[in-house]
Amino acid sequence: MSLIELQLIVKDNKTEFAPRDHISGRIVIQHLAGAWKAAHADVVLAWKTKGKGTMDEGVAGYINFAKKGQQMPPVLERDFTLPLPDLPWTYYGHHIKINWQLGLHVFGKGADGKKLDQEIILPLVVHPDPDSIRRSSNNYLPPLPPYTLPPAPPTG
Amino acid sequence: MGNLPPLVFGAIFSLVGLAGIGGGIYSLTIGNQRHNPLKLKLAPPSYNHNPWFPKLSTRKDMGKIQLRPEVSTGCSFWFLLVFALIWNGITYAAIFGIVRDEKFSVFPLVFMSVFAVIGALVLWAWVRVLLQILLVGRTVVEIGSEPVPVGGATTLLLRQNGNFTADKVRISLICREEASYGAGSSRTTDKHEVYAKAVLERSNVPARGYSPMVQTEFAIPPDAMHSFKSGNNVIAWGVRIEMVIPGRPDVDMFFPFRVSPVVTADRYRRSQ
Repeated sequence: MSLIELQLIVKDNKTEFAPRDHISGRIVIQHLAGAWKAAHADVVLAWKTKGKGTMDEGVAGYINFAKKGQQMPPVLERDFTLPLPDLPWTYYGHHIKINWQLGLHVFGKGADGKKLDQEIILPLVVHPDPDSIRRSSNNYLPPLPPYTLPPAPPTG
Repeated sequence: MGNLPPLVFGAIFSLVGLAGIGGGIYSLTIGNQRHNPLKLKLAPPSYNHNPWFPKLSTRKDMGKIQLRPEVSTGCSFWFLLVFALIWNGITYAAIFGIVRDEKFSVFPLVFMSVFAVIGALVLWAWVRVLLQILLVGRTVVEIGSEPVPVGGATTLLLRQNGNFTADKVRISLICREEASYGAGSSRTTDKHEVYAKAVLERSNVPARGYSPMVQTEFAIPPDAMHSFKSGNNVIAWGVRIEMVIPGRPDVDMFFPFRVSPVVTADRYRRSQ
């Protein structure tokens, strides 16, 4: 079982955005074994290509929540807002697909020296008319709902 | 001094090999770039300054925007000429050496004949480009606005420097995906047209100097994708000019332009 649990919650549970929108939300990083030391903890807004060509990746924005070597509390909660650029739009073509994603990436070490390495990726649709994506592509899959932790088991 | 020519040839091929290795390393580097964030401050930059919106060089002439062809006839002319001279020079020098050799054997000659055929094809391609320059002249495409927004429309004017009548002229609006994979000398780019629509088809169209040959208007579909360019993947828009000219080489040229990710009023109303 992983010692670190992550939550990446987007405001209003939105997963479809228009270009130049702002993505707001909250991150929760919970280390079950107490305090830990961060290598880095970022929220990254990025797009990736998929298809015949070599994968390309573009980072539209990111927020660092910890500096390297910073001592972190057992539970860290932070709000974030990231602006989306004009392009690229989500695209499902023949040779090329462009997918947007919001990711929470956490790397560090526990007090016992154990390596902590966890991430959550939330797929997004960035398009002025998301319905057109659904209409134009048989491969379109609706974005997954935001990740939420299962309820904690009762203690005792 | 007698060793100079082989040394020169060896140096040329070594340089080509080094360039191939360098190109392979460079393309691997581009493919592995992860963090290249936009320099975001309060708001993201407009699409003009977005690194994934392609740059395009156009020519402005008396207020009109002239598109440049994807492959310039002049560049083709000089490239094919130099390539044909070097290729055929080396090939026929080798064939001459084989034929003059006292221990003449037919097998090396057969092997070299493949290179001679390739050289002849390159030479023929150069002759076609030369005939196009002399007999057909320069094809000029002027566009009303560039970039064109998604769902937007613009005018197009075709000029042809020549004195002939084309049997057929067709102008098509094209959107093309270009996906590249591999590295160095084994890098391949696959192109696929995802949208192609003829915006004009006419017969018996005269060309008289630089006078306008045809004029038309076209619109970018409202559900189209904007122009995009990253290290290995490109979405390119352009117009394709095809002309069938009796007694002269046909024209088949692609003039790229950009489609901007600007939402036009109609599209915005539909999305509400």
